Amino acid sequence: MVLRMLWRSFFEGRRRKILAAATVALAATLITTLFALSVDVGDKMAKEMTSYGSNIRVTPKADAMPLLIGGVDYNPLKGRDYLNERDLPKIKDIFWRNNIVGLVPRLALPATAEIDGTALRISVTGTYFDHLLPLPSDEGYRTGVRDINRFWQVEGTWPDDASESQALVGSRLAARLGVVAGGTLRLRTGDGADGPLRTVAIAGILTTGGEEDDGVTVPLAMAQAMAGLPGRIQSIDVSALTVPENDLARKARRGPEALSSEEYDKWYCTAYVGSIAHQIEEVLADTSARPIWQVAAGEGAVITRIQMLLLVVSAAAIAAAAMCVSALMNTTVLERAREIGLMKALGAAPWEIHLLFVGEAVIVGLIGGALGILAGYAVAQGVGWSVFQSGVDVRPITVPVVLAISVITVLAGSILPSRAIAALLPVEVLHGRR
Amino acid sequence: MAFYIAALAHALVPAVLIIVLWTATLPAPDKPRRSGLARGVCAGALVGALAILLAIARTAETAGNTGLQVAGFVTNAATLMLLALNVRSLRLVEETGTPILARFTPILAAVEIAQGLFAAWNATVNHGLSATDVVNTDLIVNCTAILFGAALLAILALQLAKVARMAGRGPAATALAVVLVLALAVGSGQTMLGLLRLDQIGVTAERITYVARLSVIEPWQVYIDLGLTLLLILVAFRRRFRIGVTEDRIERRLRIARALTQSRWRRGLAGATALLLAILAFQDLYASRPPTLSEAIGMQADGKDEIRIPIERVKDGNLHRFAYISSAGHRVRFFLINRYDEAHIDIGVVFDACMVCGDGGYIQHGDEVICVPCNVRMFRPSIGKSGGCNPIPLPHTVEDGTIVIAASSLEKGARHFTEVVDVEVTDPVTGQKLTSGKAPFQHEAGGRTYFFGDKDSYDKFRADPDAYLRGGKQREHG
Repeated sequence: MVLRMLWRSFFEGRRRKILAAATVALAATLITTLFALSVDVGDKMAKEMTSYGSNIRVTPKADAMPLLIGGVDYNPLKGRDYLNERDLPKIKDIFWRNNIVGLVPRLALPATAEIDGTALRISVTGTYFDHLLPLPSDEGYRTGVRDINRFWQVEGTWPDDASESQALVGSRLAARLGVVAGGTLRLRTGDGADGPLRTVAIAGILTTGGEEDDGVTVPLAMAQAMAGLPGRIQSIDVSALTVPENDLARKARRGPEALSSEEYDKWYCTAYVGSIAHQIEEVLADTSARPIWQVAAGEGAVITRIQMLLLVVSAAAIAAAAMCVSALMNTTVLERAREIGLMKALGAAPWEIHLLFVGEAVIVGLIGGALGILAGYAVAQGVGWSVFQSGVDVRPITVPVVLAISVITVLAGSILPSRAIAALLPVEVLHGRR
Repeated sequence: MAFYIAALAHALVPAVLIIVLWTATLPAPDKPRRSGLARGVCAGALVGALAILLAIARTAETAGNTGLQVAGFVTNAATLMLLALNVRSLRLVEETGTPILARFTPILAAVEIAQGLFAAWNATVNHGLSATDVVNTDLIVNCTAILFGAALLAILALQLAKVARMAGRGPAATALAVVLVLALAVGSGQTMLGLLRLDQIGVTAERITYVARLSVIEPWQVYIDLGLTLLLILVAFRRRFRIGVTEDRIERRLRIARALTQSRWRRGLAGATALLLAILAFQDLYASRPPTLSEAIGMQADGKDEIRIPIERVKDGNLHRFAYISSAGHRVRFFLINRYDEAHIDIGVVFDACMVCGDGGYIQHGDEVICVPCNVRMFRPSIGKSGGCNPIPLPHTVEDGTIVIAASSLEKGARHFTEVVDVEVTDPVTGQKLTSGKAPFQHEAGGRTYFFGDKDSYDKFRADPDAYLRGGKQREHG
């Protein structure tokens, strides 16, 4: 019976209901957009924090703050502090040494590539490809980018770590220079024309999707020779097997001093990326070891800061929509006062009349919310492209949450009109005195 | 997700049952004014929240929990006493006409709710709601689960209040008595554990045994409580309102309506209870179970006191688990695994235990080897090296394609394992046959444990072990 009445009454006052649904849809659009952005980044961050492998970058302490503007590093201390290559085995000597899968040292220097008389300023990076790094516990330990960065693709062959004349050329650079694997390249140290010149064989073309595509990657020893910095490195990327971050790990991120001694022991003896980084800092003096959280440092940093703003804007949108719905409902109740009076006179309980109005409101909320989700999906894509240069993956959880918020909005809006129903006296309205 | 609902149920179902059944056992005119009960629940929620905040601020979870446990224990004991008074219908009536028993309801509600809330928080505090501060799917799902659990408990309370009245005061009082006795038993164990941890009372073997025995009941408390709820539904069904025969049509329709309402309440409560039981069973029997270790193959030392395992048998890259029973009856697990691939055979031979986490063991999941207690992934090539959470290396030699492990190395590793089985042993002095678990005396010498039938032979052996071990030693050297 209630359903039939609901069905009939739903098509009464269609214009007003369309208006109410549109109001809700507008609010839902805004909420979907903000929510989708926030949840997408939040889920990515959560995935990053709960993965079982992490990377840690070790740099000299004074070099910890890069000052990158337009791709050029303006840190004035750059090039003064270095790490020692002979300290590398120390990292494999910490408590969690067995969880360290690999170490990749790096030394980057500016250089000039000369081909057919044209000179091009490029960056040359020295690293390990598959380097023998004898450890006290394991004489045959090998490590390098081939193991750590499995997604690096080489067209041709990998250079030999011992050679000082083989190099990988990044794919974009190779396209600009017009070189292929098997060719040669003349590299001059520094950006002037006065640096020492060396001719290298192009062992392969490297594709990583990162900045290596624009540079030349060479064995570490060769880079050290070119830079005149034997035994020196700029940074070390450590790949470690870790356990997902939890409350203790997050507490420790504020600094191990914040932990009680019991917590410290537990933290130190658990393979959190933070505790492994802490132990690396302990064995390498004057270094800073930081976990590389790609999402948390990029999109996450933006969202964390504006999350409060998102909440406030959403709350304002909900409040506005609820007030609008309230006004519309009030008019409906006044307009249908006679009908309500008749129902009351026939013996309908107040909750049954409420059910009718609330049922209508819920349907309006659902329709508005559904429209809002569709519109919000489109808007979120636009915002994602303009802010993060990538589309936003709208998570399934958005749909029930936005629908629930829409229904709550409409219900909140119908609180006051419902009280008006209770106040109506059948005698008065049927006589037409009100 | 189910974790939060189950934690709420474990902590709050006893509280809900005690409050609701208590009000149901009061004689009808003693029915507390609702505001009294509501005030009690609100006060309890407030006190519980305050206690949680205090515990967070001062990192005093144990103190807070114990304090509330003591309060809960005292209240439950008082309730049981008052219930006895109530059953004997000694109605303590005040001058104004309301009985004192009804006055007790808000206090009971406040204490139960406060204790239940704190227990629920305590059970979930180390289980992060989400991995990051940014709103994400996990966070929303977990918060929804908490809200859903709370709503389910509230519905359960409402329905139980109705159904308990239908079942009658007698059955409700019986159920309440059982729930209270159970809560008192569990509460006393918890209180004692708290006092022990706070150093308020001394540690004795009896007290530890008491706590350990009672902690066995604890996980079952909520199931017993919910079982009682189902029994109450059954009683209510047997005492259901019967329509009977009547000529009066109006009367008949009224009666049908009444029977229908009753059956709706009963079915509703049965549904809510069944749903809660299903979620609890899912969480306790399935979702929270630690991964099980693969079967260990039993191994025995050969004539040369060695265990030989051909490499051919273990080179496939899977984790091959074996077990050896030591002289003292310890079940020593060890496993062999190829650290690289079939082309590069390098077998890691290690105990199935870790210096940091104990003998929880390791499992293989796809290509990864995982430490069960701490969830750390092992770097495969490092298995066989000590340090971190790596399995403890087991000394061994390789002889033409066979891994040779000396029984003595396994004996030495027995201290890492807690699992003990009874073995038949011989008293080295008297030659008497004994069962290791029942031998009254034991002594460790040269990495082996020896068992003795009486104090006399024990003392003799301790005075000069070599005199009795020469036979064994000669065999080892031979």
